[in-house]
Amino acid sequence: MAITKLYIDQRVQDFPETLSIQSRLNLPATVVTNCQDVFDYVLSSKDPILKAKQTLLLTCNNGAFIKNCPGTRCYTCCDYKILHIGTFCHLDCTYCILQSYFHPPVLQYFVNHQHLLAQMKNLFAQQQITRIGTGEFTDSMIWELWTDLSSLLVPAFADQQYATLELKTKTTAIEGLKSLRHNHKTIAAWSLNTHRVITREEHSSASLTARLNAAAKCASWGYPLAFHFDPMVIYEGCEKEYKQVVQQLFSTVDPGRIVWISLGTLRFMPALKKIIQKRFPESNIIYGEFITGLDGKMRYFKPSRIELYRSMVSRIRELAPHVCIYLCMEDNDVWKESLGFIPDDYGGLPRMLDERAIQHCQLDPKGLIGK
Amino acid sequence: MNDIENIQLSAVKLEDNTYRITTKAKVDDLAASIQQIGLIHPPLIKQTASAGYVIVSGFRRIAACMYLGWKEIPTRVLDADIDDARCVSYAIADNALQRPLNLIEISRSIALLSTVITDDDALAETASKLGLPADPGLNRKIKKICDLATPIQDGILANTISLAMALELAKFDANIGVAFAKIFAQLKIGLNKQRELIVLLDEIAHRENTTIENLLNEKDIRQILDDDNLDRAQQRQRIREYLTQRRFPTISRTQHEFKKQIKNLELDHRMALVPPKDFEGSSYTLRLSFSGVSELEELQGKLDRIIQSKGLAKFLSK
Repeated sequence: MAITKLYIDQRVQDFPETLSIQSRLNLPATVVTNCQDVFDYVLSSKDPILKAKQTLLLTCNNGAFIKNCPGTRCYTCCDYKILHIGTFCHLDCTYCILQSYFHPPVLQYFVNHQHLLAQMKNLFAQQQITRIGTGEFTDSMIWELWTDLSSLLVPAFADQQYATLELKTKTTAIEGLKSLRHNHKTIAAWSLNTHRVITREEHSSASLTARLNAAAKCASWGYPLAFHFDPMVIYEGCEKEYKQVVQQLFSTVDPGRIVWISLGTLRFMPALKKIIQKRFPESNIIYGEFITGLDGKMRYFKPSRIELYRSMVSRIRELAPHVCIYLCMEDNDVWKESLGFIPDDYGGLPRMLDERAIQHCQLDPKGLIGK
Repeated sequence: MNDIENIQLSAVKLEDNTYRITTKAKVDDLAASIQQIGLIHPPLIKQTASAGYVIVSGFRRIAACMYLGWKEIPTRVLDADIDDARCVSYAIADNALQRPLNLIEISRSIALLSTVITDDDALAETASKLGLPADPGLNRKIKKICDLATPIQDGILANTISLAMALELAKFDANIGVAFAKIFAQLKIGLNKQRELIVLLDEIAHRENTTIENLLNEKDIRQILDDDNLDRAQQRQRIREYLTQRRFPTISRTQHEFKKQIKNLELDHRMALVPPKDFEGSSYTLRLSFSGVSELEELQGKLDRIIQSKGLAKFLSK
């Protein structure tokens, strides 16, 4: 989806990054002294969410660039950190939680990179193994079209030994990664889904084949890889189709390059249901057998989740027995039933993933001390 | 306004309902009153540009006089060139300022008013002076009601359909709205249950790639609704169970299996085994009620039987 309107926060109008983005977008900009003007512009639309996807605000992040992933105690969390470089996304996935997460959602990019770099420096100075990603409040790679974000972040991570950066995407915007010095500290990651879900629900995203080909390219450039089957959608015949995706994955990518694969089934805040009904009346994604989870989010009935996970784990293990598989936001019952073990058997999920990161991203194991 | 004038009833265009506010069609009570004490308040009619008259207010009075066989009727006649906004105001005021209007009548009044006032705020101001709601937002909603199909309007008048539900039904095709209105009237269910029924049918239709109309015509659903051996409460329960099972087949199957296990355990009335809500959590709860140690010892044996139950163990390990 193309950006049709550019707003610039007056405080950042002379920042080099601002000038560069404006030049690449080739759009006239409206300078605002109060970002509420942008929110008002978006909210005045009949479909504020769609409008927000076409409206870019260049501004400052006045708060933390590094945040803890908003997990919950009810389910096993991986202790991930978020590198908060911007918000929202111009892809238009029906199920996107960001539609109800921000009020209102606005495509914002933070250009105060001196603060970003300073906070990253502090993080590295802690010398603790950290897994951090930009793909929680936005898609990591959509910004490649107009910014130099990856060329800022990837070399910065390359110069330290304790943190790994995960760039998670549904796009193929990877060319900027090719010539960067990464030192294995950046993981190129893709969200994967069945052809049916991608075409029906992940509007404007790249096809499965394109994503996997992009992953193979990144692997050829030496990047470690990760894949996230999340959100998996349960429908008639889904197991067979997800297994085909697994098959295609390992036909395209060497399992030895994969740091981890996560599995997670669709879950959403109840408020998202009405948004999906309104914005995507043709989508049937919200009519599965959902219950209210312990964290208040809607999620599939537990036995149905276990059945799909079991099937996926079995197929992945057949094709890639040594690949690390983990579940996103599930409890010990589901872990035990699906994977045959619980994270505590291996020191907990964060520890499991930290060790994979150490192994694949060549991090310093001393970073585990004190964690 | 002009003086009272006797006109031929045959000259009144009875089929013209432009200014009709009232929803009451029966006139026998009014006819009896007129017969006894006469027509106290003459209807208001308007001369048409061609020939004859249209009724502005007094539809029932004119119908009652016709019912009584009158040939002439005393009326107040408005000139053909009178401003339409005045006629609308007369029609509404003659009804709204004399008696409480029902929701359909309010809707008709607002719809009529909107033919002469297009601005929402101005309309609300005038409506307020005529005894109608003064909230522009509410008026926008109410205005739609009088365009709904007759069975839905009947449901509103019979208090089986609320304004909120009527507005929800307005979003469906007319025939589906009518079908729901008929079911609500038949089952006499409140707003929450009405909504639940609509949501279940709508979501089943999405899941099964069919239409609500097709579902409502299905044999299984018709059988429940048309079964004369079931009373209203039984029909309500059966339809709800049927739709819930169809909307959530796996969950319903698991609940059914659990109930079966409980039945097989033949639990003492002092024991209750409660699964986690929606089977999502990990902990089952076993409640024991006892009043002394001896009773607790008695229950211990029964508890052992639960622990040894292979069926329950199998269910819990799934």
